Amino acid sequence: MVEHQEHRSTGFGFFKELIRYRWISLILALLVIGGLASQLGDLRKNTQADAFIDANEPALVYRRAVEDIFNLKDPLVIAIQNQGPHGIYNPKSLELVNWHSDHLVSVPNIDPQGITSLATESNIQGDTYGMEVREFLDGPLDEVHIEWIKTSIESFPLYKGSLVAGDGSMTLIVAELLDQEKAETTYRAVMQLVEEAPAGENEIHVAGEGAIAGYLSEYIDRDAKRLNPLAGLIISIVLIAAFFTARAAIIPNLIVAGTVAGTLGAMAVAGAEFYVITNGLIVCMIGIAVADSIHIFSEYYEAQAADPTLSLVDAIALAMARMWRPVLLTTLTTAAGFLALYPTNDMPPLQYFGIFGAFAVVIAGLLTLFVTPTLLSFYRARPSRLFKRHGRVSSKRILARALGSLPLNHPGKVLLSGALIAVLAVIGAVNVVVNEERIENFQPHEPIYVADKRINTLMDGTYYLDVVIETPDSEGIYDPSVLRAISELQGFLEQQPEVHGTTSIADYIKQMYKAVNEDDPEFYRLPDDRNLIAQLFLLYTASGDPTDFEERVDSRRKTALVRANLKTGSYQVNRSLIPRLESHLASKFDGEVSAQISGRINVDYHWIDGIAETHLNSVIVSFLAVFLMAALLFRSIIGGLMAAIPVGLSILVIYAVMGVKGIWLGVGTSMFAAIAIGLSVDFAIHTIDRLRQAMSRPGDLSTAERITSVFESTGRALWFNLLAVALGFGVLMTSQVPPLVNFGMLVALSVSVAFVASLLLLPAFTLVFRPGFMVGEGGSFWKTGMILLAVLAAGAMTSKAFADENPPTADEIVQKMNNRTEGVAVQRDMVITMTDRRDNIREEHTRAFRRYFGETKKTVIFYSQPGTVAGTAFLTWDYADQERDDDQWLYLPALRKVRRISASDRGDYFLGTDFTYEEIKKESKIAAEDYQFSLLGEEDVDGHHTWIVQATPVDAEVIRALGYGRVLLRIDSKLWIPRLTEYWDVNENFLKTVRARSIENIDGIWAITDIEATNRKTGHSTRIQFENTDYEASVPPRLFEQNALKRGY
Amino acid sequence: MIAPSVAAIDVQHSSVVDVEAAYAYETGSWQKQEIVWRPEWVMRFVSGARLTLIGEGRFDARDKLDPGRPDQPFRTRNTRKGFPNDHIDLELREFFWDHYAGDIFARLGKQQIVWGQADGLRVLDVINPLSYREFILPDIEHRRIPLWSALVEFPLDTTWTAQLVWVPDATVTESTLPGATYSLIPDLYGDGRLQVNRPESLEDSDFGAKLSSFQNGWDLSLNYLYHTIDDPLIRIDTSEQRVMADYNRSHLIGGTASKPFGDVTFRSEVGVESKKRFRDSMTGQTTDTEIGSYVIGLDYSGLTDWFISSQFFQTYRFASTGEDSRSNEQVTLLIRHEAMNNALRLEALNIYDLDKEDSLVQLEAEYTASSNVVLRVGADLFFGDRFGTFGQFREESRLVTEFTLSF
Repeated sequence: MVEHQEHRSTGFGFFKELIRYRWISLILALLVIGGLASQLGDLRKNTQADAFIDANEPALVYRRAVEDIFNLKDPLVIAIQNQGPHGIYNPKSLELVNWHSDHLVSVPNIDPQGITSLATESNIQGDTYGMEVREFLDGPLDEVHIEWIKTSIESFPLYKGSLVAGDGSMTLIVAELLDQEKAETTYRAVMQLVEEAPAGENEIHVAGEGAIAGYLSEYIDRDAKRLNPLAGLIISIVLIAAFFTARAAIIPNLIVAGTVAGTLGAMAVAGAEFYVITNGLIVCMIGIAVADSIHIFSEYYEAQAADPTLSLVDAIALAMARMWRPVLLTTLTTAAGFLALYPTNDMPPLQYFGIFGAFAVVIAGLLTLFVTPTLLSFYRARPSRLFKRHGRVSSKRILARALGSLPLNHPGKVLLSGALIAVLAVIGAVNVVVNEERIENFQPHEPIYVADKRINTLMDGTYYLDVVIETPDSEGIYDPSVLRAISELQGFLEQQPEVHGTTSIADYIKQMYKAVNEDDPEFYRLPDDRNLIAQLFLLYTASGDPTDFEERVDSRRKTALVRANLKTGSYQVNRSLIPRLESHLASKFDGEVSAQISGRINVDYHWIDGIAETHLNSVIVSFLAVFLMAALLFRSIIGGLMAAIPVGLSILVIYAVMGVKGIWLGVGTSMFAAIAIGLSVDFAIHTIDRLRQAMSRPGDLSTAERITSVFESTGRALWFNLLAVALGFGVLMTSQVPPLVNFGMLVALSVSVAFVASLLLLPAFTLVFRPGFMVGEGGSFWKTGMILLAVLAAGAMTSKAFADENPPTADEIVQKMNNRTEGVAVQRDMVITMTDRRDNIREEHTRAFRRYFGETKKTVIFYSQPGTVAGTAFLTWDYADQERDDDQWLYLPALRKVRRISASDRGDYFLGTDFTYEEIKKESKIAAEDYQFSLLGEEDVDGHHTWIVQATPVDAEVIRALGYGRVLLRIDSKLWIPRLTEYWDVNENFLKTVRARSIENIDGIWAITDIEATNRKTGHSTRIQFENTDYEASVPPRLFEQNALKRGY
Repeated sequence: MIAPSVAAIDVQHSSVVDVEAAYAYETGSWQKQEIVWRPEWVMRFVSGARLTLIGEGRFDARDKLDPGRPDQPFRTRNTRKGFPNDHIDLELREFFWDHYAGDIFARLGKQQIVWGQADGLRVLDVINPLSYREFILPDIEHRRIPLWSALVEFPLDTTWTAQLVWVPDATVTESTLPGATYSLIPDLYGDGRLQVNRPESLEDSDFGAKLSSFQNGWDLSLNYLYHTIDDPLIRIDTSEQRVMADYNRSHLIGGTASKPFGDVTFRSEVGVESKKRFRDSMTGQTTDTEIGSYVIGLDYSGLTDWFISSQFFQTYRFASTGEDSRSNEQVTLLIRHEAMNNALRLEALNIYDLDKEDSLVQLEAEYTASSNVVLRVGADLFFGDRFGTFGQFREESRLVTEFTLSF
């Protein structure tokens, strides 16, 4: 009767027609997939560790700028260890250093100029002429020479610990790579070289951040590539086992192939890159495509077994008529879950994971619905032997029955156990630690791991934290006060438990000063005379290579690098160091000489710091998306909740295992929750849909009988689904790479949890709560939609109430904005375009300079065009002391006199523009003492997240002085630059808007390069375009004197 | 070796063309209908040095302000204008070389060196003489006669800057000759003959030094100048039947101080000349005297878009010079209003002589129509009796229109 009805259903008719015109759908599918797949060649691979960080992350941008200045790269480190009584101070070891230094030059991708070792470095010592720079390994390595090397190193703190171990048992050869992306090949080549080396009694180790960072991704990627096909093979075997037919293995594999090719092709078209975690996306695609296929094949064989007289086409159409709905449901729900990952994530790989995960799910769904039945129709109708015994319980279904009896007999207990497990999982999940330490991704017996540990035990450390000291002038580093500050900073760093040594240009200068004073240790200090320091450098170049210092000071001697060595790159270990260092720098370097933190340790700190929060948000939103979509599709909130149970439990269990097993939440593991969502939704939706069919089917069957029937059909399909995915990816647990082992285990675990939760909790839930939607009480799509909207709104409000604790306070935001780095000095051209309401345009060209003198900020602007204003100049001195009025001067060429002007008019408009004097001077910052701030919320401006901060003047005096009754700033939450600011006048009338039209990174500093103010009352607007911005330019102090206004620049 | 450092890396040009007409409504005649082109070139060198050239070419259809082709007795040869014909004059206004050697700044060449804090009133701003071609009506920038001179500035410490000045060019205040609209020279013998006993260039060089500093919010300067007083002592040589212009040398010591107090900026300037010669208008006797002058100015900018500035000027002769009053006082009041984002500027300036009880009122409205076009209308009005400083020109009160194009 039922089947008769199904024969007449729209779905049945549709799929019959589909099979009849099967060539159309096949050709269409081939064209689309083939078209996308043809683009695969353009897919770029990005296995860089930095790929996980937003390219605009200020710490990353700054680090790249610093690397450019000092020609720094994450190096490969070769360590030569000799455990004999003299350590490496023996001819064999030193010759080995020479050998390596010579041979490394010819290794492709190693910078021949970037090799540092005892063979390339020189000692600075005194001689009769003053200072001699002598290469350590220059000359025959006899006993006297070796003794000299030893004494020299012992008395040269710069090399002790960083080049030769404190106990003399190890020395390093540091080699920089030209192209970081080829790190893995280079690592192999160097390992080959090490094999060939005449090691003798020495041990040779190869490690270094450059080797690790570059090699790790390749290492994971390669093992994944080896194991993924194996997973495919195992899945095929499971499929054959499930149905005993070849087609059941071939067709799902074709669907998987089509999905993978289509998705990766789409990624290539969209310009997205293939990251290490994109491998996880393929896993999801396999899981999803296989799950849908298993269900369709089960239905197909069931239908055939139920009625052997059915034609092939009828059997396929019947199976599809029954299965299109759950396939569509799983597709939409999973896609919603994936899509939610995109807006909630900061890491580009995970964002792409979200977008293309959703895309893959949709492709897989479409192929399953339109291509699977057509492909199936090409085979002859042959029933599966496993489905022959129609209607009766097969021995293979005993497990399903046993599983089914649990929720039937003890529904309450099952639910309680589920709740208990969830609670336990939450407790476990709380213990998840956010951390990243790349070396821990290797097996402890891997040579690179051993090398890293060995080197970092004996030496000062191969992980670097850098501090960049910038002075405003060329040769500013020669200033004795600057060098003293550098030296004190080193002292501070060396007191920190994480830091095991520091180097800077100050060390070289001390050594040179000592050398010119007959190596008297008394003179191992910084000279007080700037000229003497300059002369020391000159003296050095007489016998040494001037590029010896290029990694510590730039060629203009304007910027210096202080490098601290750390023994570990662990975020957890180092995360308290950065704030400590930041506060030290804030107190010691304020104003003219600036200090900024850089280095990989700093980059890791900044982005991993944000992972925990954004990751959790992202997973919650994704989970909610699954719930919402399921609720809408089932037209029932309870339906949504039921779909969410296995998904939620699966995510929780994954975190719990990570918490308990000590698997860190970091780069590689950040995708686990997303995959759990993708794989577990299938189990839930198929179970719910089949439960609903069974429960709402007419007839007088008992609830228990109805549920049992679900176990017999869907239970079996789910079981094979579980087997296929869990076994398939369980293979990864045999990997050599710890992250892949974890990955395989967690995927298997998450599908197992989803399977058990779907088959136990969902029937138990149905029995206990008897939800209306289960028994065919169709809810209204709109009604459910409205309820969900209401729930969402309430949730949003509640979360806002709670969330207020999370976002920074308005004062913190303003502080961050005001502390935004601006460089010590800058030179730039400003093109000021003023447009009135009738579109009359006036354009003025200026050259502007700004420089900090201690805490005083001085700005000078010279007008150059048009001729009628050329020569006009404006100078302002802005004092840090809030009580002190600024000093301002204006030079008008018509008078040829520098006019002192009152600075109390800071709310007046600057020379006809729509910016006030205050705004010109503050450069998109705000005088915090003038306002009280409140955080009103957040908003996207031009696609960037901003905090909405309201600024209310503190008193009537400020209102009068500035002319504003209220200001609303939208401050970029990453760059801390206001993107859009609105002003209201003293009478609360909307006055003007200031919009940052373009923000660019220049010399490592984020700066507005195009800004526009529009006065809403007058219709007049002013646009300032900043051109030729140069933070490195020499900006002499004399430009900021009153007399300079008339001299011009 | 030197070649790269003198190689020019950049030449910037800008020009302003003024089309200006002035109509004296009392006499019903046009004072001027002129086109003035003021080009400026700045050449920058790799070494950081700069060469600036500012020229001026004028075509005046009326030729009343400086009639004919005057022989410019007040100017030294190298500072004179060229008069290709009656209507055209050409002048190399400024031509100087700027260079920094470390923190030492030097400017050599034909230039304007400006001291002081007062607007329009001269106490210390006496290094460059003025031209009275249009009396005191044009911008002072155009009235100063740039001289061949050298200026060096260098910091003494972090707060004090010194400036040394040497002016070998002996050009003096240029009054237009009898017959010109604003002539200040009496023409007793009706032949316009004038003998200018101008000092010798180089020999009678001016030397000066200025120390300036910024202390506790005060802009301060101390000035000293040993110079020829550029304003002449007009003497009539009855035997020769000639009008003589004589000059004397003097030490000028003075200083300036200015500081803002809230919305009000205080400016002051004081100077004492060691010797100035006066001729008693009644007896014709000449007397030497020390003379002190000062200006106190207050600028108020408390009202948005308004600028109000007032100055009080007094000069005092330490010795009696006959019947003439020993002191002379003037007050000025400037009211400026800016509107339409400074595209429109309205300005009224009044200079009132307290002794002669006469005054000059200058009214001006300026509109910047676009980046390169400025339109101006105004009136220069003289009040007072014919013997007064300003009243003497009351017939010459005029309406002015001006069109400025810059490129």
